[in-house]
Amino acid sequence: VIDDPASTAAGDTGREAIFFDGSSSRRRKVVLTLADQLEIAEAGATRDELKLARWAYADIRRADSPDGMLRLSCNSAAALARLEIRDVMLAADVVARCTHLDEHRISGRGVAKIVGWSLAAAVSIVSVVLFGVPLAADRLAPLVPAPLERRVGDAAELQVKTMFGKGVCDNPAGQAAFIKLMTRLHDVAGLGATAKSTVLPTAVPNAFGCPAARSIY
Amino acid sequence: LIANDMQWRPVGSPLPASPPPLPPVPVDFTGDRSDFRKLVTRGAALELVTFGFYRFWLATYMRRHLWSNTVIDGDAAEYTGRARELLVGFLFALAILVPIYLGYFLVTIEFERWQSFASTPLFVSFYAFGQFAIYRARRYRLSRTVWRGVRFWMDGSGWAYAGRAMLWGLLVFATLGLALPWRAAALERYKMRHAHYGNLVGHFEATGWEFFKRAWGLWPFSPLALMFFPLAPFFYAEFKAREWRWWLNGIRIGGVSLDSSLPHDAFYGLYWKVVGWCLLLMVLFGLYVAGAAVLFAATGGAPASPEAIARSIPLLAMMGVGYLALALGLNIIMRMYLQRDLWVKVVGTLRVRDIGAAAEVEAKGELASALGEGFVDGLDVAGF
Repeated sequence: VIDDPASTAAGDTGREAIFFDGSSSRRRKVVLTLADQLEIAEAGATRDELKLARWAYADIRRADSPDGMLRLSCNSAAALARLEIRDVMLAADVVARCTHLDEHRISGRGVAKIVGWSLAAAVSIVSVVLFGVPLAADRLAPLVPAPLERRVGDAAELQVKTMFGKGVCDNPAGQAAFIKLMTRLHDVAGLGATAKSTVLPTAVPNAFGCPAARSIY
Repeated sequence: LIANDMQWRPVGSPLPASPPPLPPVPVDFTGDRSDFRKLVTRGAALELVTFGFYRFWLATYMRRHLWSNTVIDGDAAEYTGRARELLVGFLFALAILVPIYLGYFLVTIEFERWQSFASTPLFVSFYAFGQFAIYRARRYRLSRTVWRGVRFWMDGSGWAYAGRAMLWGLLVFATLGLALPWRAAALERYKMRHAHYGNLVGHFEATGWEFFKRAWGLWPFSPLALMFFPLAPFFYAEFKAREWRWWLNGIRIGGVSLDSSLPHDAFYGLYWKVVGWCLLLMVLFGLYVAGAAVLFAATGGAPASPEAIARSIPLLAMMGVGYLALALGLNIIMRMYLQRDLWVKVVGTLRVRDIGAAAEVEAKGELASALGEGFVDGLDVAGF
């Protein structure tokens, strides 16, 4: 509808582009004038009031586009206003005038910055795990309140018992041997009287130590 | 197919004065495959060096490449999202998720004291979070998608969506998966009726029944495909192709509709190439490890017992390097075939009807934050 060859002046060929003003999806054929600013006018219009926009070269930035087309945006215009130039010569002309065309792109230095910060983050995490956690664990362990520890222990004990059956081994001879063994362990390890040990009837040879000094065999 | 074509006819009687509808326009993809390969290869290497942090930049570059080379009616789309937004979204999501994980841990202890494994239902709440994330992630991507200087955008509530997804999930569970098509249709209807292009409103016209008709034949084979490995890629590729086509055919934005002729076997080649490359890389990795062990045994000293080899630090370091190279290679392959090639295949089958309805659309809509993308990352959920 907009494309009317008769209305396009002969001098305009090679200066044509497509313009989207960012407030409507209307595709406008425009003619560019490379004056002290980039002037965008509706194709075929000669009068000044039909000028659509004037972009300062320093504000013009490159936007993503397919190969064979230069797509521009302008910092001082609507955020989504786009000018699309398909003519190679005209594109080269405009590019030569826009001094900050690729200023917003991530350069090699930008990538180096990303790598540097990531390495710093990784070093920080690794050193916290290697040095910070052991240091903090020794200092914090006595501070964990006994009731909280008991709760965690209760929960874990219940889970283990659900998995391996609720029964407890209470054969007198076995118990006597077990208690003898545990007393020796307690004495050597210096555990208090709160430590509690239980034997579960399972063929799996394993032992769990739960928080709040509970152990299950 | 004929039945489908019938449905695209407008229901109301057209005005006699209106111009004849324009023929459907194809969607083209103009991107160079080797450009994308360079992008993902470089990206994978940088991801390795930055311990994965580079992925926000890589994801953004990949989207920018795919979007800006997708040409609809002569005009290419544009992705205006930036990696920094994804990074900030991720950090915000982390700041929200870490206390929740901690609270979850404490609540779990209380519940487990009362009855073992009583806390399992709490896990369900994470599923709700995941659904919220999927909705918000789509909202972010859509609001960064621009065509002809006008952006797409979305309103609606991520939590309302998550609620729907949960209820439908329950039904799917109760019907052993049979309700899946209706779940997909209902959720997509919610997403699409809150999607906009400028002042045009979207909606989703495909029904669960249509999806069911396309995909029910696969349902009885699903246990078989799970048990018998060589069938699994075929099965998945088949299902995905049917799902994609059904989804694309249902999309409407204002008066504009999409139409896809994606064949049911469109993805077989892609999935088999991925399987083939993975096998090849793993064989190479195996040879590398064996070679390293032999090298070590030859140079390291006489008593090369298996335990000594397993304990050797240089050998472990060499294996670590090999393993990272393997992970890098797998990443590149996945992105090449399952993102780029799949995109190109799907886009190639697309046609847009009544594009004239989008000729003069008024710009509207707000940008959405990348919080959803951060949650998707933090919870490791898939979906879009």
